Amino acid sequence: MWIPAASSTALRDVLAGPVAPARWLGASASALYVSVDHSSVSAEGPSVVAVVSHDAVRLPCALVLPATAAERPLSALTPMGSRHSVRVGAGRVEWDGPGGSVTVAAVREWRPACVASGEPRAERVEALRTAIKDIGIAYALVDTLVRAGDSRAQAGAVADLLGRGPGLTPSGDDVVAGFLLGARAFGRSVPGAVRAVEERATTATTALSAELLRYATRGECVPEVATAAAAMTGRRVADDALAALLAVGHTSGSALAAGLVAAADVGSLVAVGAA
Amino acid sequence: MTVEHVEARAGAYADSVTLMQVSREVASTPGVAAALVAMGTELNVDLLAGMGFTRPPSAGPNDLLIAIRAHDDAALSGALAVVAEALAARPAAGGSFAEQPPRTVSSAARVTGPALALISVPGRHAFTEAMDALDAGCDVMIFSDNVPVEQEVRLKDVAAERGLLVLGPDCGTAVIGGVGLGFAHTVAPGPVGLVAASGTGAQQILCLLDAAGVGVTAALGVGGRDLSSAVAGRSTRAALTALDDDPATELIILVSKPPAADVAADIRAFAQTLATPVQYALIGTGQPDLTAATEQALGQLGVPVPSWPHWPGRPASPRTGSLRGLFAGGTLCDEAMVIAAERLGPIGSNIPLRPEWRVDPMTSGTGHVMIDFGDDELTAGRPHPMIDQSLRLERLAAEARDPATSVIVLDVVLGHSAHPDPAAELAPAIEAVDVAVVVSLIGAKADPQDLNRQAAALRAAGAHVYTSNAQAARFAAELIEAAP
Amino acid sequence: MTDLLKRDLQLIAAGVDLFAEAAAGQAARVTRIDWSPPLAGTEADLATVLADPRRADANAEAVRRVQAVRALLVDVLPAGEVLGLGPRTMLHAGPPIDWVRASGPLRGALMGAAAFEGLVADPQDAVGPLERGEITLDPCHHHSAVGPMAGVITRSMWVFVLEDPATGRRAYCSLNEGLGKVLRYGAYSDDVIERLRWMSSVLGPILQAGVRRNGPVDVTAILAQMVQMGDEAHNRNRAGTLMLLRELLPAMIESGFPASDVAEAARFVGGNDHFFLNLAMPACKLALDAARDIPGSTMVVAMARNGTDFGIQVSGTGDAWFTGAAQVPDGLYLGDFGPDDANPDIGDSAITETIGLGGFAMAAAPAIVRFVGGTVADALANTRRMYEITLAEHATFAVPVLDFRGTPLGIDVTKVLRTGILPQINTGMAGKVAGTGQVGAGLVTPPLDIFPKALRALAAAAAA
Repeated sequence: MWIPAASSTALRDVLAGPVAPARWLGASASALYVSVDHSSVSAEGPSVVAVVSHDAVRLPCALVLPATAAERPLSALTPMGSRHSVRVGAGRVEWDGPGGSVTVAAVREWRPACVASGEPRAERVEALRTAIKDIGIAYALVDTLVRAGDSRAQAGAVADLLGRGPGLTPSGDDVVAGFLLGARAFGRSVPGAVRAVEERATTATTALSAELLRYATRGECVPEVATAAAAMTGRRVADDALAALLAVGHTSGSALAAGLVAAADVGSLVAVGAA
Repeated sequence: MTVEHVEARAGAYADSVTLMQVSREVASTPGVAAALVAMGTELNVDLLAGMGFTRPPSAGPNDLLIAIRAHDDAALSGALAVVAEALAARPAAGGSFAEQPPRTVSSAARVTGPALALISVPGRHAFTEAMDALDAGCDVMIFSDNVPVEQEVRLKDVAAERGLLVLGPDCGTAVIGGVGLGFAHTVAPGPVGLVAASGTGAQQILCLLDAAGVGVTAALGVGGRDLSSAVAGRSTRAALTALDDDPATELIILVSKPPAADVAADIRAFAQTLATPVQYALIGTGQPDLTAATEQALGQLGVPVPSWPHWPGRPASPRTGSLRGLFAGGTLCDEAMVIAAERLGPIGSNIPLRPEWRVDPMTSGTGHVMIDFGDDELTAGRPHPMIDQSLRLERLAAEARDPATSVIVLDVVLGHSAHPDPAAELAPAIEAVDVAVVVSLIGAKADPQDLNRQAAALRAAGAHVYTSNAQAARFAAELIEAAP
Repeated sequence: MTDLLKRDLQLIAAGVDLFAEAAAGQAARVTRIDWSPPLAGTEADLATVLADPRRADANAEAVRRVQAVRALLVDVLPAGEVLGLGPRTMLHAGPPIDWVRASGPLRGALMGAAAFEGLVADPQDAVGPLERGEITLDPCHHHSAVGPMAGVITRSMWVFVLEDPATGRRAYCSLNEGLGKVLRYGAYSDDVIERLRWMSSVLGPILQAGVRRNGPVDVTAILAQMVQMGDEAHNRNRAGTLMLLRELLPAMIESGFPASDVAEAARFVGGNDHFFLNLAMPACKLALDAARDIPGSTMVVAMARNGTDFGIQVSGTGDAWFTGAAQVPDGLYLGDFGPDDANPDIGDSAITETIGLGGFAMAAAPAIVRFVGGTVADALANTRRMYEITLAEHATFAVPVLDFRGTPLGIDVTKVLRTGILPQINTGMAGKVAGTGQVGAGLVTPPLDIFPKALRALAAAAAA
């Protein structure tokens, strides 16, 4: 089965390499996650490639299919288990599915969303803050992050969040991702958070979540975050943007929003020892 | 002689529809003269009596009446067997529960939500379909040609009222969301937005940008007439506005044949009001050619101008004679004529730069001639030359046989919807002629035909291959000038 | 400004498949239209009508008005009293027609009605006066009324009075006589006339007392419920009938009429699965009349048949009827009746299809698809096909099996001609010989040629 897909520009290098073995990370009806160890061609560690349905959240590391999860449930295409191989390279993700070989081919590119900079407007920060629902973990952890007085405390607060919560993208990581993206959008310097992610994410949380945090340090994110951040800075109307963010996942949207609000709340820190 | 069977069967409820079917089935059994199978309502008992049957002594509305008149006992027992079978049978779940494809854009849009409607129905039906799409809140891209200009204006006015965009009519090219639509190329996302009243002009710029490693946010074809006095740039304005509002678009390139003077002035004034700079690529005497305009755009973006790929052909010392151009792209033909005319003088054509230079496209002319085989007049009743090359191949051989021909220049346009492997047909044809052949090869890296393979095949056949149409035209003119 | 560049690309392709194929190959979402050219000869009129600047808003307004109407049963009265019918005027179904062109069942019903009104002693004696035009014939539709099958309404017959409380507008329909040998199917035997007399002397007054004592009955609300209970409100009205009876029965009992009369009335209503049809029809009529006379609207506001002609009226063309030959339905026959016995299509009951019930709502009433030897899949396909020729989906009438999608609402003349899909009507079949009664039931469509006529008139109005 040959399935054309639109590939994130962020995957250009990963997909361009020669076909190499990869590892399954997870599968649902709307998304498949694969870990690619391309240390032979790149200095960076393993990277994650997601294959997502048309109606799934657009992760910045995704190959997007034209069909929805209802039209083509992805979990039905995959034999889960480490025994089964999956290969990535030459512009493709391919594996042997229950009904024969499956090839997802990158036939065009799309550019992942990126937060734009601006000063957040107080009333919109409050609007988002009051709309936040369950973030999946104790809100006190977010408060600790906001109150961290120096870079070291901030790194500690982030370390406390990394990997906290169940699932492929734990809620604590969503908060941290929202925080990093908000900091980038609102011009906050958060060296402690960045350092904690760089040093600890690979070991402290799932491979997918660690990858999304790396994207967040570059300002790349799902479109709902970029749109909500733009709404907070008044670059666009807020009407639906904040609600759309909160609708992401079960608790992910609220956790990402909590991170954005936390970033709006903090002042910039000077990196300890960096001076 | 007939036999009759009348029975009121208790506790055998079936709905009236089933029973009407059973009655029909039994009545059509061989040897049966009349039959009624129905619940024993008063009405049905009367009906039974009306058919000449004996009234059953006791029949209530919950009893099943079975009344059969047959020619003999065998037929009767056969009919009773049919009744038993028909009452026992439940129709198998037949037919398909799958949805049928929608029949109109508006009914499809009810399911999909706002969409871009691609209309490629015959021109006389295009207005109806496009208006239906606008009614459904869809933007519209109309490939169809031969749409009356007043219908085009009406569509574009309605679109403006409703905040929608009409691309076309006669819009061959667009790139939206990275998807090449119509005759188009898959190109990477990037900072340039294109507004094009010229399909092949847009394709040339897209491919040159692709060669320079620069992608696009979108390419919006507005239709060849959009910048005429009648249409007055209605869609050009809408497209410019949409691109200006797109934060990813850093530079807009507007490509067109020379617009009507008043319209050009209006559009330039309008472009002044935008936050995004607009680079013009207007083909015509005294204007920068498409390649030069693309180079200016790259300069504005701070991207170095690459050496445009070309593949030199057989070293040529062409005989004295004329330049003959065989084009599939009207804008490419225009551009080549402008460049060649500056050096060589009058160029005969079916789309001449000056009215007095018009020639019949179907007969070999004298002097320098360039034909646009994509012109409406030559595509009526046959596929576009980008899809079907046979007309051009015949003409290539004919021009080469003409001793007055010195150099032939032609375009090969790759990309989606175009011929899957044009070089496979063209290379042998080029190989077979003994005049110099110059090819402008319009293609992007990701094109399904494989740009490099096409170029290699054409070069191996002896052609001089350029990715810049302007360079191809200039080289062809130089060959003529250099001939003894 | 378009948000084409802001949203995810979604394509709908009509025409050359090459382009759709190329886009699909690039991982684009493409919905392909099964496009075919419109009916030959209608291209120019279609373009003119589609270009009419009033059309889109007019149709939106028509759809809005239809759905804004709430039909309440407010009273039951003799037709002479509410419709002002004189002794020698008879209303009938469908577009206007005279005795000469009238079909068997319509003639039979007119003859029976003459006897019922006491104009003649024997129905056969009515032929002379009817031939000589001594009795005036007029369509029900011209009097805010509708009638099933022959649809004959005379002054002594009782009618349901439905009212839209917001506007005070009213619509009327006769009381349903039941199935089989009945006047509306063209039967006029003594028992038919006798039943009509009982309906006027007993049933009408009891229903009147019931409605007046109970207060108005919300017929629109019952329609919405019955569509979710397996009725399509044309050939299946079982749930609707029972809901009506449930609502009126206590007040009927308390009305003071003799218990035996009330019991007989209740038995009559409860025993006639089609009793509610004569409330569904005026409810549809009341709603559709709200959408009349909107300049530029291409929505059909009435489909009606007189047994000879099938006629439609369109919002944007006023009171004009566009008529063609009524077709013989395709379906199943009662007893040993066959296709040769059936009269062409007759009745105002296609008003239910005009609003998107009946054949349009087949998917809600799978039990009746076997009238044509069909399947449940056919029922779904029928309703889905009707979405192709309609303007909207009804906000209140929902089809459970289609995930509560609204029924197809508002037949658009232009869409009928563009797709070649004709409105699907579920109907009863009358015997073509006067006096026969019902011979079967089945499916039928309007003749195609009436739609180009309507389009031509819309085009003329648009150009003017």
